[in-house]
Amino acid sequence: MASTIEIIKCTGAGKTEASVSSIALKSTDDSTQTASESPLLILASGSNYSYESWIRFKMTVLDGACSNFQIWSPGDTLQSGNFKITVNTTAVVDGSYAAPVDTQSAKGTRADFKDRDSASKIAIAGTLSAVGQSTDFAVFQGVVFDTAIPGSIQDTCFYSYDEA
Amino acid sequence: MDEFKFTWNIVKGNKTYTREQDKDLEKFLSLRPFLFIVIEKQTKKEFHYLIDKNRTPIFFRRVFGKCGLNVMINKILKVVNCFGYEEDGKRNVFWENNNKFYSVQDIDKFITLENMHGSTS
Repeated sequence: MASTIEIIKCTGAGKTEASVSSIALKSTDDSTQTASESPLLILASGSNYSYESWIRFKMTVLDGACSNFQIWSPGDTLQSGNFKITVNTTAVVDGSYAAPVDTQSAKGTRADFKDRDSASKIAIAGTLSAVGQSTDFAVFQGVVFDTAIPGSIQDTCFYSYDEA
Repeated sequence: MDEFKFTWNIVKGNKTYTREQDKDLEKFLSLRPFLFIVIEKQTKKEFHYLIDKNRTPIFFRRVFGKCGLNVMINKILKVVNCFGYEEDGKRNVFWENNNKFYSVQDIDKFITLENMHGSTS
């Protein structure tokens, strides 16, 4: 039996946790509404921001310790010039959690997620050796440019970890 | 290697609405006698309003916190078609959602339906 690692999204000032299988970058800070229910509006000029999505990995079943968590993008499949996803490339630890904002994120050193492909994966610190333990955060945010084209889009985040 | 999906939905519109600036709302109101809207005040609290052509709230349901009728709309989260009529001076309003009709008295039922998502986003 392998350990079970779940993807956790934290929302609200109270850091409410929810296990998720996808992440909607949207105009509401919760883990229930879909992207279509909370769309991102194209502004007449300038960029509009989704609420930050605070994501981390959590151990729910222990078989062996898990470490070396990494995330990366498929590369260039995001809407270049219309929309982008940013993410922190430096550590955002549990103690720095703050209620997600829908203004430009300043959590960690920010980078365009599409630029962090398999050749430049982002490490998420944490060695999980007991049920309930979690890694540091990956704080994702969607940015809609005023040149964006309306529509429903999805993209992929790959992740991996080592299990002892 | 595992993966999860990002999803997002982009729509046209202005993020900030005021009574003077909101052309979309004006257009909606020119076509329908009443609107049911879910709005967000600058305090980030969510309110559910039913407004008439003059943008006068005739029914409201606050979700969180205190609220008054004199609001400035910060963000419209949802617009739902409404239909209304007056009978013996009494104003009746109902609205359609998924081919079902709801009256003002059923507003709690409507909100409950709207909140039944079950998504893992």
